[in-house]
Amino acid sequence: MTWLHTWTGLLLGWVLFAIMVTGTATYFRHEITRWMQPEMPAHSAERQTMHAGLARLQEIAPKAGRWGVELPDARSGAASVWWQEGPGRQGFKREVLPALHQSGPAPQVRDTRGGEFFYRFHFQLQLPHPWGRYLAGAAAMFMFLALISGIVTHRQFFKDFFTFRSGRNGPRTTLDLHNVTAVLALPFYLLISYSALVIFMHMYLPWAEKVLPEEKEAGTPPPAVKMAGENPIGSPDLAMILRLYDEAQSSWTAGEGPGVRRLEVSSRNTPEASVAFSRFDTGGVGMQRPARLEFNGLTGEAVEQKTEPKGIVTAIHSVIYGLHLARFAGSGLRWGFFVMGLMGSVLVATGLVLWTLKRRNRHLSAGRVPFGHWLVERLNLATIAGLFIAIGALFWANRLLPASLVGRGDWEVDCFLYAWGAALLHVCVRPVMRAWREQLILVAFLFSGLPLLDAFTAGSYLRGSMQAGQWAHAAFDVAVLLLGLVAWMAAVRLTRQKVKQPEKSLTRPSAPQDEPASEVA
Amino acid sequence: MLAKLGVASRWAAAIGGGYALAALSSVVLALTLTLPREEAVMAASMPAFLIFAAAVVWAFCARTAWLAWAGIGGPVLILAAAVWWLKPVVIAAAV
Repeated sequence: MTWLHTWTGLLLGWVLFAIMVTGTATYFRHEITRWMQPEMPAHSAERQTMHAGLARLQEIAPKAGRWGVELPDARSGAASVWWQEGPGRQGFKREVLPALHQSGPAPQVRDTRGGEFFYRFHFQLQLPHPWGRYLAGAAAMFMFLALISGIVTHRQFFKDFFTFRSGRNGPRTTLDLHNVTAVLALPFYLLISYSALVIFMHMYLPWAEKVLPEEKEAGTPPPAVKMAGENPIGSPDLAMILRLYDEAQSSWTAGEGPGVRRLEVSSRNTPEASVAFSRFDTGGVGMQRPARLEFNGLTGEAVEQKTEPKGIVTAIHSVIYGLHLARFAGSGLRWGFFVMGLMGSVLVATGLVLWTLKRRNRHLSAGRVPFGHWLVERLNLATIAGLFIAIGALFWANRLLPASLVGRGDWEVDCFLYAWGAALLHVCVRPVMRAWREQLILVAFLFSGLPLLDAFTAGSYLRGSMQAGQWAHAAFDVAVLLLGLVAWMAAVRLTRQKVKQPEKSLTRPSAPQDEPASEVA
Repeated sequence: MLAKLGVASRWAAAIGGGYALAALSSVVLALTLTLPREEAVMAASMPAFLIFAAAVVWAFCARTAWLAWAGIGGPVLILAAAVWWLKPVVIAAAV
């Protein structure tokens, strides 16, 4: 089992590390987007905002077939409108609303993927569809296996949990850190790896669905298209939409629940015009489609929604799904998830480093480092420090690239990828311990420099958000500063350790020649 | 050399055999559960990952590589036979 743990942990460990780190960032994806678009005005989900959105649509897209207004939640902050004028993607336009007390055109908000980048990378890894999802699934399965075999290897992990030795002895500290982070959040790791598989199980295990015959339709013919008859062909006017909004809002908030989040007016200027509202998440753990209210766009009558009966299996599935996404988490719990995600990243990183530490002295005393070992050492460094260099570069690019640059959002992602590639090149030409130090120092510089850069480039927005009592922007700066400090500490520690390392025995002297050290590997 | 061959063989049993076992188990379960289609698919697929994991663990726990293959290949054959027998029955019942 030790063997299984070693190899399932190593083989996709690098991919897994990138998935863990970007997934951890995804817990705060809306907050990251806000930091990356500091000029985005903040709205509240109010009738006034809905009214302003509709007025704006009336002004710029009176002929569009579809209209939508999206109200902000506490995390995302900004309201936007969208409309569809022609078929397909080209016909789809979206615009941010100006702040309510201001008049004039919509504000120029910088083009960026924002927190969405981390979210997408977390399961698509910038690979062409569907390969990113398959690779992420394989990584999740390997993580699940590494956890199971790790638990079996470590039957007395509670004892180990209380032995954290932080002395100068690198391998021991790394091993203890590996054990401590493993035990602290073990249920969390099991949950996210298993639920990751469940979320995309229709891709990973499509066979049951392929074999089962299609269900016979329950015999309800599609609803006949209501003919306009004497009704004029037209669109619901603003007053009517607002009246329906009030109706939807009061029917939802009457039960103390959250209110309207989205409005969609479809088939405008046709007899089938309809007005639909959907609601904010109600805070349950399970994933479900948001509740929806639909009205006839001409008469204003409510259109009955068919509700599908939900069985116990669907309920279990939606809870597993929902736990992974953690949309239900308020800010306290969200920070908890974030910290557990960080611990998971440390768990994977220390596991990868341990693999090389365990074998290093053996190879040094043999006088020959095999290619496999050389490769793992370098991939470890290029993944662990390199990923943070890339993320740092992404945030710096977000502040430094000119707002008018065409394809600016893509440029930011390119900066991320080029920085990562440069880190990979760097480790190939430098001695590995020096390269660790240099890259950690760069990470420290990039991350702890971000708040300063932010103060220079977006200081007014930062002050504005703090005056408004919104702490997301400031919290981001504090968080990256802390990450930068951790990188500093790691770099300093590595410098001190360098002298001592060769004399320490990394594998136990009595260990038999070809067997991996048996505590953990 | 022989040891390396054994390890490679175990990997093949773990990944290939384990996946086959997971896939077949989901199909058999979906065919036998009397649930609405969508629910049957979910109920059949969710446990399959655990079966996959168990198969991999077995592949590396078994004393010899031969035993590893036998412990996975046997159930695979049984489940495959079950699918071969069940599928026409279920499809006939659905029509």
